Amino acid sequence: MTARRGKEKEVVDEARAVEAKESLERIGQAAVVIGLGAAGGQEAVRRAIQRTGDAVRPLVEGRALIVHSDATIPDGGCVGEEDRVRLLALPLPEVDRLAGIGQGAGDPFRALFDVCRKVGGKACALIGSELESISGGSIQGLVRPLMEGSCDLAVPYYRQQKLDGLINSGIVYPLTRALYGKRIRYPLTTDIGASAKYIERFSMPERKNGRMATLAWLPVRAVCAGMSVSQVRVDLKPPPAKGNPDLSSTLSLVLDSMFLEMDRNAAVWQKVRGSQAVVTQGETKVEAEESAAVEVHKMVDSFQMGYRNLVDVWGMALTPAAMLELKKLTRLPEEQFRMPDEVWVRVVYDFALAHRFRVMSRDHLLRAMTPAYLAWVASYILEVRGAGPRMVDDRLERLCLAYEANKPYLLSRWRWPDRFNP
Amino acid sequence: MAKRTGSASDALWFKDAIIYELHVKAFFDGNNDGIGDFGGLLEKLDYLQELGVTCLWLLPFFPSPLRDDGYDIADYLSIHPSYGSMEDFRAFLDAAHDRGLQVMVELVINHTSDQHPWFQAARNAPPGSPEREFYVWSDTDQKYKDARIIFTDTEKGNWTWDPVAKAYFWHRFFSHQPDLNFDNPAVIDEVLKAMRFWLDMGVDGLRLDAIPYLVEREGTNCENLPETHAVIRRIREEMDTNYEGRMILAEANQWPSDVLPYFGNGDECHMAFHFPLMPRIFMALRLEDRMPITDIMGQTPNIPETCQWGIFLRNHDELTLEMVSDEERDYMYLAYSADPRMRINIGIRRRLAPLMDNNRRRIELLNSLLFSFPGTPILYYGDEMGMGDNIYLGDRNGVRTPMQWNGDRNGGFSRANPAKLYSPPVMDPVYGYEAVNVEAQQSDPSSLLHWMRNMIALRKLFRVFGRGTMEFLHPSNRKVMAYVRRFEGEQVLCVANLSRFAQPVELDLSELEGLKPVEMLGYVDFPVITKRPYPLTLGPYGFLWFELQRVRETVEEPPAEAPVPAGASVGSLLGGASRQMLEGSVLPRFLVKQRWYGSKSRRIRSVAVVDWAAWESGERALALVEAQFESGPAETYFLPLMMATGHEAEEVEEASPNGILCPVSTPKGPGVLYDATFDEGANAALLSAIEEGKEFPTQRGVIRGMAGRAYAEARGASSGPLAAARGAAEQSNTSILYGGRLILKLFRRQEAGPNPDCEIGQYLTEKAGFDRIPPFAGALEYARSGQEAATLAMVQGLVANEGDGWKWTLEQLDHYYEDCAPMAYPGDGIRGKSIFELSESEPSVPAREHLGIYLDSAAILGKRTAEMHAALSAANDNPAMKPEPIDAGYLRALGGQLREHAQAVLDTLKENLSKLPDEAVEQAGYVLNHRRQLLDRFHAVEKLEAGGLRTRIHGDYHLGQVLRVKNDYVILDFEGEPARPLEERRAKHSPLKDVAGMLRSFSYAAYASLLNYTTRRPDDYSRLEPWGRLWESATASEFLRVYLGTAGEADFLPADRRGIRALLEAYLLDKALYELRYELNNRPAWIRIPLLGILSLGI
Repeated sequence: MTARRGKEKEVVDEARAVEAKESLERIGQAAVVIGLGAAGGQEAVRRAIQRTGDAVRPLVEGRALIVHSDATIPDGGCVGEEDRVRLLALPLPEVDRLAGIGQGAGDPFRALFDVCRKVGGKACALIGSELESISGGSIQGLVRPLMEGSCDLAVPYYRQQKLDGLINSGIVYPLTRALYGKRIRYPLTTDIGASAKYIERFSMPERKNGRMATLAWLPVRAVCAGMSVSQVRVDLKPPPAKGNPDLSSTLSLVLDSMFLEMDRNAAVWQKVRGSQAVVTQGETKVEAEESAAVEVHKMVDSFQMGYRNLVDVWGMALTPAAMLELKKLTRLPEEQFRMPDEVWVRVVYDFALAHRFRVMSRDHLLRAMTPAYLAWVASYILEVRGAGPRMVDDRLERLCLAYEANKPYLLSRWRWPDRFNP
Repeated sequence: MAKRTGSASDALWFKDAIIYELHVKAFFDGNNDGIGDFGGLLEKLDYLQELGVTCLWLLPFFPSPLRDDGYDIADYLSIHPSYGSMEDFRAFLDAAHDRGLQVMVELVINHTSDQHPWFQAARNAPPGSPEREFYVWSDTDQKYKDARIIFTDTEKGNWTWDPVAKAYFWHRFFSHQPDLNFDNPAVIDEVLKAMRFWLDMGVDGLRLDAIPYLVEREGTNCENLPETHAVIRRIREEMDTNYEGRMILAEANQWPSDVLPYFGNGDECHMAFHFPLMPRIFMALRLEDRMPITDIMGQTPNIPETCQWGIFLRNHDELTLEMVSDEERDYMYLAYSADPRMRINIGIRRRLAPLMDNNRRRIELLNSLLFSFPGTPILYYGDEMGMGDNIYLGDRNGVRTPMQWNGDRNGGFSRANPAKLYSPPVMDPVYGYEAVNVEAQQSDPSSLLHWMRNMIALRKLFRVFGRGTMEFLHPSNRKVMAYVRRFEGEQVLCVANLSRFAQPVELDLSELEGLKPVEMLGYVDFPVITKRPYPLTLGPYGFLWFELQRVRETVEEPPAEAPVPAGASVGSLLGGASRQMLEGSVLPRFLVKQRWYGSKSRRIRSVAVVDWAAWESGERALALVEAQFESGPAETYFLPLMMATGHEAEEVEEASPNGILCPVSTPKGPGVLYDATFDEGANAALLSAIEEGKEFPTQRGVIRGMAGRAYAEARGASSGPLAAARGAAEQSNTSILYGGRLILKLFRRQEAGPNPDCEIGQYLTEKAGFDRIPPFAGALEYARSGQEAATLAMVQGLVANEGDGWKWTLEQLDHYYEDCAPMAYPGDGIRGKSIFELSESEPSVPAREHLGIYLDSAAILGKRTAEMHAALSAANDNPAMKPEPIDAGYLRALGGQLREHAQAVLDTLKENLSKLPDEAVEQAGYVLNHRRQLLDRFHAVEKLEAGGLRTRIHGDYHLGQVLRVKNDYVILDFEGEPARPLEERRAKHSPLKDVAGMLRSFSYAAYASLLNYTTRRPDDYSRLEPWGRLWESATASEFLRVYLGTAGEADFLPADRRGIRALLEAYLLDKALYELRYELNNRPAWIRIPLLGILSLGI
């Protein structure tokens, strides 16, 4: 961006901030604030506003405020004929799939928290999922526990097919669960409901390496602060990642953020053993399984090639025993290709440790993990092929328990790093 | 200049800090002029961040003639040009803050350089002028003669003649460092101005140099004066008023008690160095004895919550020996400074590694103490990699040499010509930069630098190190030091071996029983702590740090504050999808918090609701929950439950938080699920269920109420409902009182079969007509096909009383000892006689005279006991109650059981002999020496002649189980020991077992009261002990005399007195041995009581 364009943007932002402040003053108080963070056409925004308004109206005794991006609707306008649900056009920083790890421009969570504080809200919800997927049930699910005061943060339990979100299933969920001791199925979320207590705690901007840091890993922050988190089964569909990054980039971005968060919270998670369920509300729907045509052999090939090419890099991160296990894996034919949970967990832990100790460029390190991840994915797909939802859940539960069982390994190496490992 | 904020968000950040002390000039030369500078320091911030330190303490970097390493400041508001510019400083400060590092600078206010413009103006200004008054002048050098000279090697006095001013000026340090005059307000203004200058820039901390010496007064030693404290308070006030998150560190080389005032009431310095600790650490190491350390820590007072000690091993000065005795100082010189060149002033000018003879284990051990002692550790640059010193350089410059970054020229410190360096680097073959440098140690995973980095990271994980309390343990091996640190539930045990050889140690961790030590460095689980001594072995100079973790008592912890989804009724929880959550998390957590839960030391594997009944239209439920353990049998507990929402839920949260199982989310809104015995309405409903004989079908059986024959009379004629109140004293049961008429005992722990309290109570009330018990009035039972009905609750009539027999007895004994204390013991004729022999005649005259009414009460208790046993032996229609003869087979089995028990107790006594109080050791030894005779007593039981009956008995009979009612007694609680299995509690025994229980209770009362009475008058013990023996033997023999007299020829006793005596003495011995084991495990101070009991049986 040129200096002139940058200056122009600053002026526009400042003007909008002033305008928004004035609008908020006109709107006055609101008990709950709901932000629609996903990009969408005018009609999509209007329909989402309507559904949101209808859903939130029965939940609040006072007024609700919907923050949206449709500049053609005047600020202070309302949904329906009465004015219990008011509107504010304030485009929030765009929410994409990786917003939950602090990626993207701006900080949509804190921007909405700011609005909520200004109108004296008891709770707020940011819906970053695609506008068309917003349903009354999802809105109510995220807002109701907050209005009842039964939790500090409500997060979605997305309905996904068994092969969706495998970075989450294979790494993010089980690792977060083992670390922080709470079984939050989707710790990396673009949709949240937050209580006034949560907002108060996390509104203040943070600095990291001299720059303003965006709020990330919201459920993890809640757990570390001793706040309660509940899950709500919803039909929301998270937005795609901006720029459609490839697998290596996505893996690198997610893991880098996650491992940094681990570093930040080390004093908390090192005192946690085992894990606990969190309250999960909403009905479990058993959905028909989509027939997914996945070319497992390509993944296995990638892994085998990765092993050949990256053996030196992996050797800097992995223990000799883990390397040996991977080597054995390269020799297996596709039909017998299974990666034991313990091997995968140790690989993840070893990469987390290598990231912490900066054994090499962090981006390079995490990208180098991609073939190993593909090996796990291939093994997982082969295992759950033809399995029903319950069996898939059981399979993931076993993986999670392996993460928990091997946590002492992570702790001992974290606390006393030594290359001389078994 | 715009005022900038500090970098810390926590006002007490300094408590968790790791401070790194460095010279800018010595750290890194960024412009290659031979002198370190801010540009160079900035380049090395990544190194410091990676090391893990959190706060940088910069030694003086101000313009100065550098005659005292910069502590002779010539301008407070500038940077010495050799170190860079103010811009360089700001860039460094920002970069440090960006890395999360705090920065502390020096505020040297006691004195300036004689080159400071203030001094130059002062010496040229006339006496009395404002300029002159900035310093302390005198026409004579005879003032303040009581002030000591600090730099004894270089200074002859504290006054120096200035030929320009034609007067003496005052200086506590070098003669080129004139002291500022703090009696002059203008000086304080200038000091505050300097402080504001640096704080405005964003500096986080100020080290106040040499603060005890700010003000001088005649007739004092000019140290620690009240006027000095007033100056410090003024500085602190200015800081607190205008800045957040800043800190003052005091340099006051004083005894801890003298440093305490520098913390004020939290209104002077935030931190102060603990100077006397440092030399004592070195001394303890060399002596291989923890005493110097524990001694000084014992002299260290508590400081305000917001304050902190600064602790260190080495710094830029000498290892100061001012705060040790002359003898200790001599020892330290001999131990650590063989070469006189190593000494300076009153100390030793050496770095850590040379002091340790470069022994890696010793260096690590000392650092482990530094990191685990209460206070904020301060590291001196270079010590993290074991840098050496150069004793051939003058002053203390030998420990201020350039940082050794690599093996290149000048140790990588500077690319300047070596001759230009401010100081030569250390170049000897052991510590020189080619052998010891950052680059080499970074590439060596086993280096000291890596070790330090790991230790720092580890310490930062545990706030207890910076903020916790410290308690030393006292193992007999003084080469081992052990201490426990505690902070907000976090507990850490540290053990260190000060010896060069491996050492064993046994730690008394009984107060931490049940916790599991997890070795911190490797996260290794150690065996769980028990009441027994905890053995450890430490290698040479080894140390161990343990997190003390609670052994997981539950399968999983419940989600904090997470409401469990529920329908409108409790049944929706117990019978619905949420039951899994209740069983998986809520119930395990709830159970372990309850006083009535008996297995707190066992690990729960799972909890299940095994049966339940809806109660009162489903608003409440009566549930039975079963806990399975990782080992041992399962246990079932009875739990009435109900839910409350809205205002009622708030009331429960307010009044009975411990009764809440979990928050619930109901159609009526959020609420709580809680123990229904906390609800008055539920308690009333329990009684009405019994009164009306209601039945509640459960999933597998039925719960039914049943009113006893005495119910109506016990309840009274009142027509309205009786007000229900939950009893305050809860143990294994829960009690509910009804209008002063009835008491309901809710038996929490459940087993199939009737509770003996209910079973015997009902028999004695309804069949035997024995009226010296609270009348049985009804019960709530749980019946399930194929099992004997269990008693969930029992109702009895409430008996008006004057307290239990134990309490009343102790009151009587208090008076007895009070009365007897001044009297000479009259002699009694009891010595050498057993109570059995004494019971054959009336009480002696002295006993009658001094014990008074207590003898009568013992007699009546003997009578009631015999009557109770007669009633119990009369049962004939219920097999569970019907007496059985004592035959030879029973006696054989009994003898074997008693002998086995005795052997186990004697083994325990033997193992614990070394830990007994001194006064008990002799008696314990005597008992152990007579092991064979003691066991023979039980052999004798096997050979007794058959006779007498086994009947149902009280089972846990002692003075606490009887109520004093007017001049009589009522006997309570036939439940037996609740921790024992029901089958055991319902077993039949000789009634003499109860008699033995009561006789031992008299003994306990006599000696417990005596121990209590003589706590404050220990000298009286031996004088009063005969009086105690008199009391015990008189009451016991009178009780026994009347008991046997009342029983007469009863068939429940053996036929002849010899048989009675043999069996009774066997039970007495068994009971005393049981008590012995209890006291060994719980109250070693009371162990004399059972020992005396054993000895009194004539072994």
